[in-house]
Amino acid sequence: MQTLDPSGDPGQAYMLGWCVDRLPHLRVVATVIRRLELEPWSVHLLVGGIGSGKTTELWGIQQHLKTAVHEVGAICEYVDVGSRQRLDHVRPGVLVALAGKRLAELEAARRGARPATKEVKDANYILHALADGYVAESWESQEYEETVVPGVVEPPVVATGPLTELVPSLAVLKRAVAPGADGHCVFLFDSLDRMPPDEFENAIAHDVRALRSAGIGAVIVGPMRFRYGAAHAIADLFEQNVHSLADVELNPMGLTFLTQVLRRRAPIELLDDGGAHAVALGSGGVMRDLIAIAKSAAQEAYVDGSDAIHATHVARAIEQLGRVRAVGLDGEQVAALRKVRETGTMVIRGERELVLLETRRVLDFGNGRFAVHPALAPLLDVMTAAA
Amino acid sequence: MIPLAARIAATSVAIDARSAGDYLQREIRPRLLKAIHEERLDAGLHEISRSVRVTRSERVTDAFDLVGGRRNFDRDPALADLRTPDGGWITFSAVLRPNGDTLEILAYTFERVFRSDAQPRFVRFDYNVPDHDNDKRGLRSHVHPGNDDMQLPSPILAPHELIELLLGEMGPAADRAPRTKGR
Amino acid sequence: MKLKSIGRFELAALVALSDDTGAWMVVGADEPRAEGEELAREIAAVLNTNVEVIVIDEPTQLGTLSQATRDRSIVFVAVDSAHQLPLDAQRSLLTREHSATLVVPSATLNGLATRSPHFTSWIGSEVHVVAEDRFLDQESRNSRLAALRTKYGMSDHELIASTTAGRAPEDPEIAEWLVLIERGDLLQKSAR
Repeated sequence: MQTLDPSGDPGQAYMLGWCVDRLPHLRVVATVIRRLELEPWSVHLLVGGIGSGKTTELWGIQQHLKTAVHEVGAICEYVDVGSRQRLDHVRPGVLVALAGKRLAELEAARRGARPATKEVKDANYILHALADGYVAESWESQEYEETVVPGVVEPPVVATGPLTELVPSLAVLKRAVAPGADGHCVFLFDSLDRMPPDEFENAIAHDVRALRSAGIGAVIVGPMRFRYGAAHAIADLFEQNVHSLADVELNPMGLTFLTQVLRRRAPIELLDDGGAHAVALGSGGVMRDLIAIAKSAAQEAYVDGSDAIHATHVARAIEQLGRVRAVGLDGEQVAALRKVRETGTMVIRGERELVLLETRRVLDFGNGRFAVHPALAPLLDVMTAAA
Repeated sequence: MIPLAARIAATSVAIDARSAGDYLQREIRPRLLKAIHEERLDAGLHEISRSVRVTRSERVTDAFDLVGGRRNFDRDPALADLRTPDGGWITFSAVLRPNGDTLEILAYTFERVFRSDAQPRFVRFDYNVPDHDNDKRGLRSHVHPGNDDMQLPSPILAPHELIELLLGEMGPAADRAPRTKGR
Repeated sequence: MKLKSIGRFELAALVALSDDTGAWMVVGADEPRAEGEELAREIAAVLNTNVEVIVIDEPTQLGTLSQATRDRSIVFVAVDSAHQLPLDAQRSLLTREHSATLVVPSATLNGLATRSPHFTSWIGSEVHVVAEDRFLDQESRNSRLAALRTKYGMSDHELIASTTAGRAPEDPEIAEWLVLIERGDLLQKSAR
C-alpha cells in the first residue's frame, strides 16, 4: 500500500523514481530554470490546482539546478513553509527569516572550524532575531526594561514593515555561501497556496523585494486564483514571472503519461492496462486524484477478497471520490456545474467559480476549456437542486 | 451422568468476553481476517462483515447467537459464504449466554466442507442442547467425521478455537507424505 | 449527495491495511464521541494493539496533537468546533508514521471539500460514514429461519411446543432457532 498513497511525500517519491517526466509543453521546470540561469535573482510565482504536482515540479527544479549549474557553491534549497509556519498566520518577514536561517546553516557548514567574520556574525544575529524573536533592551526614564519581541516564524507574530534593513544581512550570508557576482542562490518556498489568498500579497511582498535585492532567487508556490487575472500588484511583484501548472489532458498522450505514472507504482499483476486506463480517465488528469483512485480501487479489491483490481473496483473507487467531492454542494453550485458540463467552458465571474476551481470540482485545461471533474460529472444527474 | 459425559462436560470453557458482540469483535473477526491475510480463507472483508454476525434480542433474553455464513444443509457450493482456497468452505453458529464477565457456551455447530471429491467430504463439530439422548450417551459434544449418522465424542471447544482448527492445517505435517495404508 | 456507508469492521480493517503509511481517514457520525470509542475498539482488535481516543477541544491544537502521537494509531474526535479545524493551514503538520482516524459530526462533512480543499485532496477518498455491522439484520434472520423451518418441517409454534415438552430434536440448530425467535429462555436447562 505504500506506493499508492496520495498523501505520500513527493520528495520521497521523486527519489524513489516514481515520477515520470511531464509532457514537454507542460513543463514548467524548463521555463523557470532557463530564467533562473540567466537571472539568478529573479523571483517566480508558481500556481496550479491542488494535487497537480507542484511540489514534484519544485523537486525537479531543485535537482536540475543542483546538477546543471556547476559553479562552486550554487545553492538551491527547498523550504516547506507550511511545516515551519502556521499558514493562517503568515506575516511579512517569514520568507526572509526562513531563507536567512538556512543560509546561516549553509554558511556555518561551509566554514567548518574556521571562525566567522564579524560581518557574518552580525548578519546571523539580525536574521535569527527576526526569525526567533529577541529580547529588546531599552532605557526608559532611567529604568532598564526588557521586552520580549517574538519572532516572525512562530506565532504570535509581529507585523514588521519593509524588510530593507535585512537586505545587507542576507547579502552577507549569500556572498559567504555562494560567491561570485551572479552566484546562484535560489530558494523554493512550498505550501503558500494553502494560505488565505487575500493575505498572500501582504505576507510576502516585502520578502520578495528583499530577497531580490539581496541577489537571492526564489520560486514561490502561491494560491491558485492568481492564475485567473493575478492582481496587478502580484504581476508587478513577480515581474511577469507567473507560471501555471496545468492538469494533464485526457488525450492519448496525456493518458499514456498518466498510465506510466501508475505503472511505476502498481505492477501489472495488481492493475492491468485496462484498469490503469480507467483510473486515468476517472482522475481527470489531476495527479493526486490518480493515486487516490488507484489506492481506493486496491482497497475495494481487498474488501472483495480479490487478488487483482478489476473494473468494478475501479468504478467503485471513482464513484467514492466523486461522492466525497459532491457532499455539501448547494443548488447553485450544482446548476453551475451542469452548465460547465454542457458547454465545456466557464466564465470566471467571481467567488463561486473560483471556489469550484479551487476545490477541484471544475478542471481547467487552458485555452478556455473547462470540465467538471469526471468522478463528479455523472453524479450531477442524481443530485436534486435541494442537494 | 455417565462418567464419559462428566469428563467431557468438564472440558467446557467460559469465554473471556462481556457480550457476544464483544467476542465477535475481539476474537472472531480478527481471526478470520488473519486467515484471509494468510490465504487460508478466500472470502473478502465485505463477506466477513456481511455474513459473520451476532443476533441481538429485542427482549431481554439470556442468549445470543453467533453465526457465520448462510444455512447450507445440502452442502450446495453456490450457497457457501466463507470459502477456502481448497474449494471448500466453513459455516457455523453458536449459542452463547453472558454470565457476568464471561460467556457460557450453550450449543454450537461448526462445519468444514472440503472439495466435492475429497475424503472425507466434511467434518462437523456439534454441541447439542442438554438433556437429550446424546447427552445420556456422553455425546452431547461430538464430531461427525464426514458422515451425518456417525458421531464420536469430542471435547467442548470455544468458537474461536474451532475457527482456528477448521481453517488451520488439518492434513499431514509439511514434511510427511499423506498416508495410504489399507487402501 | 450521501456517502455510502461502510461497516465498522471493514473500516477498521482498511485503517489497518494503510496503517504503516500514516494515512488519515475522516469519519462522519451522529454521535462522534461514542463512534470514536467504538472505532478505537474495533481498530484495536484488528491491529492487536492499544488505540487511544483523543478529543480535540481546541481546534488549533490539531497539528500539535498529531505530531505528539504520530508514532501510533489514534482516533481523534472533534465535536462542536469541527468546522474550525485548521486542516489546510496545518496540513504539513499532519504527516504521521501510523494512521489517524478523525471522527466528526456528520453535518461537518458537508463543508469539508469546500472549507479544506487541500486536506480533502490530500486524503483522497478516505471520507466515510459508518454502519453498524455486528448484528444480524432482519433479512438474514428471516432467511435463516426459513431454512430451519424447511429442514425440520416445523413452524415456530410447533418448535416451541415440542421444546417445552422436551421432544425437540437434539441438534444445535434447534438452539439457534430458539434464539432467533427470541425464545432463548427455553434453553435455561443448561446444567452440566
